[in-house]
Amino acid sequence: MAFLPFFGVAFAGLVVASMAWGRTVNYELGTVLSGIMTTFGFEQDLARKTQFVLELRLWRALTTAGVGAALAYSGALLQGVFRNGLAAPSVIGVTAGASLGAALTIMALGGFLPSMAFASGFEFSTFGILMASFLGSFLSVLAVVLLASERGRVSISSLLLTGIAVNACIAGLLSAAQAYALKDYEVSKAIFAWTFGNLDDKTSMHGILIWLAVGCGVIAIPRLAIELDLFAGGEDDARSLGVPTGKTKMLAISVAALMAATAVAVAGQIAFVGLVVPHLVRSVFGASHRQLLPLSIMGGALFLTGAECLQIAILKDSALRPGVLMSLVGGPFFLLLLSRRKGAIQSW
Amino acid sequence: MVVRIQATHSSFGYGEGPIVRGVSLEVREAELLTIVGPNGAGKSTLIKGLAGLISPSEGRVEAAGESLCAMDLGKRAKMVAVLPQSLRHLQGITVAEFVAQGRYVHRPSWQHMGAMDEEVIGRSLQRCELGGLKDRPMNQLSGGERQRAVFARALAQESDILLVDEPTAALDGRHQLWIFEQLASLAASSTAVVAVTHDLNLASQFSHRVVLMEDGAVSKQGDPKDVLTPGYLKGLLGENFLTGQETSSICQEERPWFIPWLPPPSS
Repeated sequence: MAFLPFFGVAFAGLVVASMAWGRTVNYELGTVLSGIMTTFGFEQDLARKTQFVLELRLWRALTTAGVGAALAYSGALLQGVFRNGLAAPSVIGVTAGASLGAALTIMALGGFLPSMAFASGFEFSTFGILMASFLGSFLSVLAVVLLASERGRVSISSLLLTGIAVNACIAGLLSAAQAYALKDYEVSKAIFAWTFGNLDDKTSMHGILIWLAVGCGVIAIPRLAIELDLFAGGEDDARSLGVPTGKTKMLAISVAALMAATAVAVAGQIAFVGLVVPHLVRSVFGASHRQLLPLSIMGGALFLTGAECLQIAILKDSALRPGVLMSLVGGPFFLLLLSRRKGAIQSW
Repeated sequence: MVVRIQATHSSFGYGEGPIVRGVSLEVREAELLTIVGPNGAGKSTLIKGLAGLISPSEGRVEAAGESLCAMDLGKRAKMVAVLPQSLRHLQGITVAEFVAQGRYVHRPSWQHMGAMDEEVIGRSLQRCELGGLKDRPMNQLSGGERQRAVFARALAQESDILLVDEPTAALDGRHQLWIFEQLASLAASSTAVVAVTHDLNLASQFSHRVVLMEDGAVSKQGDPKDVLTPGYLKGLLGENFLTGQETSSICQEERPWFIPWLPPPSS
């Protein structure tokens, strides 16, 4: 990959920038570098508070990048499998399942579900919500795939329709849970806040978890890149060219689900990264998945880290969550993209 | 004559009852076999069945002694190439990249193609007169150029059997002749070629054998002049056609031609 060095430099720059600029205090480059070295075991002479803030910002930046990479990769895979540029992780139920899992766990921790002997310490509740949302998205994707399959084969159109139906069911359950929790202000506030997405308060656990998932996903690229290119002409065509279409579909959907489920579990709902980044990459570098998949991973990492960094540095507003910003900026941006490429889109 | 694909009492469909029933057919090496028949007779379904893309609900379809639809997909793609009726979603890909898709089962790695692959792609582009268009995006080609590219991709697959579904639909006369000339020349170099067509004149002129399908079954197969008789045309068109005979370019024999022609009112 010729783009790897460029990505490395840009990524390192963005990580340093997001550690240097904060909502409360800015640091010099030297301090930031010392902070990074201390974090990885090379002790430098820094005040404990400075080191604490820098470490928090480092893990936030790394987690943000991983979440962006995972979401964009997931979107690129699903757009390839569905042969439709509007496919996003939410289509196969990832987001809805994660929201329900998180909401139920927040309610359990808030004392809603009886006899759940949770110790609601910070560490446990973070981890508990993370695992529950991961489990929720895993189960809902499994439900979509199983309900859509017929004698072991999954057709893309039935997957899409089943996805819509399962999403609707889960949305209903989620509304019911939210309505039930409405009498407890703190719990309903926590559920509500989760849906905005959150990239603050990330620890090494979040950073390592998301990059571990991305690492697992990357291994699948050689088994998916050309195969998804050949999907463009339809499944029969791909099969007659020798592509094992059943295996390719299952692998692509599993990897996409793992990416999106981990991203949503770690950071909550962040819209549009999975949709917009693959489109951007495609419009600049072409539609071949050999480039699209790795470049979406890199592009997603840079995109979300950059957006988060700018938001903090310029707006310094902690109320504006990343999910909100992405929707506010991503929506109009996507409309612009659509209006400029109407011809290409009408032939879908 | 080597038999490449053998279908025995095969029925094919898409779940709710068979569309094609009880077909027994041999696809032979060095032969251009055309399948003709009215819309809805099951021609495209039969082609898919012969390609192993749908499995027979009854009977067997075999190549080299092995069931085609149970065969390893890579092995099958090296044996059978399919030229589909239509392909969508061709934006964002150049002619050369498209033709390279035919090398999927041959290429040594996902990132690179071998020298052999490059050579075969070059040859296929050359043969289909696409050398000058190889960097042109697929969605900017004319209908004729596009069909030549689809044909070049099938050539790049280097299979022993080529199955073609209505290759001349929406093409002008020059391209129709070009496609059938190519199919005949592939057959002359020992490929087994099966083509579905609505054009009885092309079938009559170029094929070694014609299979006539009616209502999901093979009603007749054999030499073009024995299948495409004036009697068959009368059944299709009544008295509304002109016919004659002309020497075929592939066998120096007289073959029939037909034009649908509505005669003027008699009074």
